[in-house]
Amino acid sequence: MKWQTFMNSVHQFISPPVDTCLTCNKRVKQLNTSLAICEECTRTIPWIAKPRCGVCGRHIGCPDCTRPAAAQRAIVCNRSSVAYNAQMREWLAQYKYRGNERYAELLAKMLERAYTGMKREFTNTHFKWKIDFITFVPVSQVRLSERGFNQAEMLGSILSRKQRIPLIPLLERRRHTVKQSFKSRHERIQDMQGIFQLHSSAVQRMKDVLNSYSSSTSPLPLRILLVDDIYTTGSTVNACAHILKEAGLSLNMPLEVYCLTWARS
Amino acid sequence: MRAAVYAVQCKNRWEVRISIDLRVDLIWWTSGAAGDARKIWLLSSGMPLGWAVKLRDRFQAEERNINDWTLWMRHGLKREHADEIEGIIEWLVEDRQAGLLWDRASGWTAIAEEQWKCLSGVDGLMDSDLTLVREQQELVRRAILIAELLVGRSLLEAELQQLLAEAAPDLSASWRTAVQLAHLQGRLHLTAALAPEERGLRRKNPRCRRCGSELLRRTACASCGSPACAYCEACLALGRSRACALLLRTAAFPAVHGTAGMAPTAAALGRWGLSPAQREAAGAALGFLAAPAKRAAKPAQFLLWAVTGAGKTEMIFPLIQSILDTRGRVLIATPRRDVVLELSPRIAKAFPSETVSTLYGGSEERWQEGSITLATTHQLMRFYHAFDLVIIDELDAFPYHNDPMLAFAAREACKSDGKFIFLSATPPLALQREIERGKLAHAKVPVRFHRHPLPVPKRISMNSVARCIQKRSLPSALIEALERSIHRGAQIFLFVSRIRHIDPIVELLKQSFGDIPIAGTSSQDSARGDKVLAFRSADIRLLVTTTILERGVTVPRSDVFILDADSNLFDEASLVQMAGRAGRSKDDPAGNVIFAAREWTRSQKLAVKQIKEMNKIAYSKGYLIDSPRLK
Repeated sequence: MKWQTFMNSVHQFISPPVDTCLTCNKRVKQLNTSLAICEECTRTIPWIAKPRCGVCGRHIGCPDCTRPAAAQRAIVCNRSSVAYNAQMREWLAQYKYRGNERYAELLAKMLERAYTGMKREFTNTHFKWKIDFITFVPVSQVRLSERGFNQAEMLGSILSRKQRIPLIPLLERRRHTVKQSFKSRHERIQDMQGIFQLHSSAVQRMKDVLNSYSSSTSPLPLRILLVDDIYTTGSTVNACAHILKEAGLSLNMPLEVYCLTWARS
Repeated sequence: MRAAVYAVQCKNRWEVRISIDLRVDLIWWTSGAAGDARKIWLLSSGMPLGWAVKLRDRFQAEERNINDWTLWMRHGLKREHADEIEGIIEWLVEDRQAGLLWDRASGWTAIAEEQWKCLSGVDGLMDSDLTLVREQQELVRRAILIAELLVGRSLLEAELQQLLAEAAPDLSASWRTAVQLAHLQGRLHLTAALAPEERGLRRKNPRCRRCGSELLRRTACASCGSPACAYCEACLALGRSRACALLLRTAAFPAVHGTAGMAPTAAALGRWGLSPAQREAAGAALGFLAAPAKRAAKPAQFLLWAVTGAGKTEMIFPLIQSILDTRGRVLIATPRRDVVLELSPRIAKAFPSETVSTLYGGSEERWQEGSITLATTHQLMRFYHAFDLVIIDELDAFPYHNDPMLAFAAREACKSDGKFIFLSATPPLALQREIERGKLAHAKVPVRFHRHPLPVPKRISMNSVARCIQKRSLPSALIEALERSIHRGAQIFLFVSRIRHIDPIVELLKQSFGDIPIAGTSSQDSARGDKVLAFRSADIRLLVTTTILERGVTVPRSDVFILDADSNLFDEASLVQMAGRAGRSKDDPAGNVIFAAREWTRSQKLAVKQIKEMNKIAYSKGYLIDSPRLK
């Protein structure tokens, strides 16, 4: 046995380096250089290259955004990296529920792609579109202590680091809701009432950001990027955006909330 | 999670303790239940559980004043300080709530009252718990219940909650209180899911207490507040085990032994209808079970080396019975889920009066207790010193073989004076060597249940499969052999070494044998289950596949062809297993096995040698139907 262990290490030493793919566990000679998973897994990612719906970023036709009730929405728009399919669900489950935090980096890199796409989409020759700060959808204290991390916060903070945009926690979740996926669209929207509130230091932090600009380069309206892992009906992000906009109004500080999610279901 | 740490003085000794509900501890030590407590000193009202456990387990405490206690903790957590955060000292020192809680002479201090007030409002500790603490009898009942539910278990907090939700929903809300009391009563052991690093002459890395692995990753943890709380990456599939996660275990009871002291009798074996070869091996195993356990670092082991198709399952029935007769618990574990599902009804039928719980990922009986437990090897991580007998079937199959994590879990699941029985048709080399050196107790079953010899593989020399695919033709020797098999009405397993060869080979075969149904399947085929069923019912006559079907599948009247038998992906065990698919039924005991390859490799030679040797033993022992000495 000892000899075998020794030979294994010798073998590992002389054989060419092999990497293990995070998502499929296969050992491959080379990983995809930008995402650090194997080429085969990279190929299967259902990117949303061009959203069909300009509002919610959906890859297929979208009845939700043409409803009359949709006029009340608080976000400017949503953009997502990928369409939520069985494989993406598995990746998110590995990260969020199994707690394999190696996925954070992968998902954040995928999210960054959607962010750069968004930037390209809104920037034109006359207008430079710029996000002032990033914030994220909060989870309840109970969830947080159960899970050990907030996936939306992690994604937001990696994006913040890569894009050098400040990340500011602005929101709190008062209670946790039953799993969203068990509910109808109407129930979900009803359920979101009063769930989120402003973080105690949020107003001050928003003021600080505003004050960091000189008056001549006044950036108003402030553009906030709201990050979450998945966009389903948009009720969660809209509830958050409502709170942010109200705070903006009370401060006499017009603001726009753009939503960036990793997956669009 | 976080836990409180306190020191309590009993007589003249100081003990350091951890608590997940300090109110229970306060009542316990001051009500006189615990005897002679004199002083209680709170060290921290809440620190990462891993640190708390380390302080409790590693360091001797003496009487100190508050400054000394701080120094003592600082010393104990030196490593954590270096690894994790710089603020740890402040965290400890500035814990204003630390200090003397109770003194027999002067009673409660203001700190204790503050704590009590605090705890009754804190997350997870509802007001209902507070009344519970007052109603001590009810609390005692709950503590006993929770400890009973956890006998032989090793569970994380989330798993405990699932168990309670199913078995005792009324305990779900106040589990902390009940667990803490059970812990104080000595019924329940509380620890952290990761054991800290040990420094000294033999430095040991931190490892997972549940799976034994050292594959750790540190991340910020919102649950304990540490910015570098380690978690185990090896056993994530069973819920995350981390440095601050609570692991609950019960104290172990000593193991029972199979019908102790008695020699295995004909009566013990008679009712199971075993063949002479099965009977002899089962008798040897019964002798092993009856022998008293030696004092050793690991449980005693026994290998039942039974050829493919020997009827292993029937042989373990008398072994299970002997443990059940002494009121012990039996575990049958196998790496493969399909084997668990296949065994379950057979065991239930053989032991109709016993409760059998069947465990695998997604099983509905996850929290059921049974005198017989059937499980995939991963599920063993949820047990701790629970079983008197652990039987591991298909020992050499993926993923158990070469996975130290599963071997660790199996060892932990067995009582330290319990016994192990391994079943295999192709034991790994390491075990074969132990047998040669006389270090491993074992019994061989060299013959199939139908008492005909194992088919000995024949050789066909041919080009590699890749070359055949390139030339778009199969050699005539192979075609002729296949024709003979088809003609005699056999079902044909055709094994190839690589998944990518399956489709081209199916195409080539269809050119030669257009008139019979041919299909291919592999691990990547979602319709695999259906195809195997179709093959069993002869709706598919020829099935091209990989080692994925090398074991477990029994098809009456079958022949086996192994192409590229010289491939290094086929080792001796794998060749013997594939060959073992042939001739399994009583009606067609002499199937054909063909090794087709360019080279005649060592693995092929050894496989043939092993098969011939087993036939020879069977012949000389008179087990074969046509053995001369058969009575």
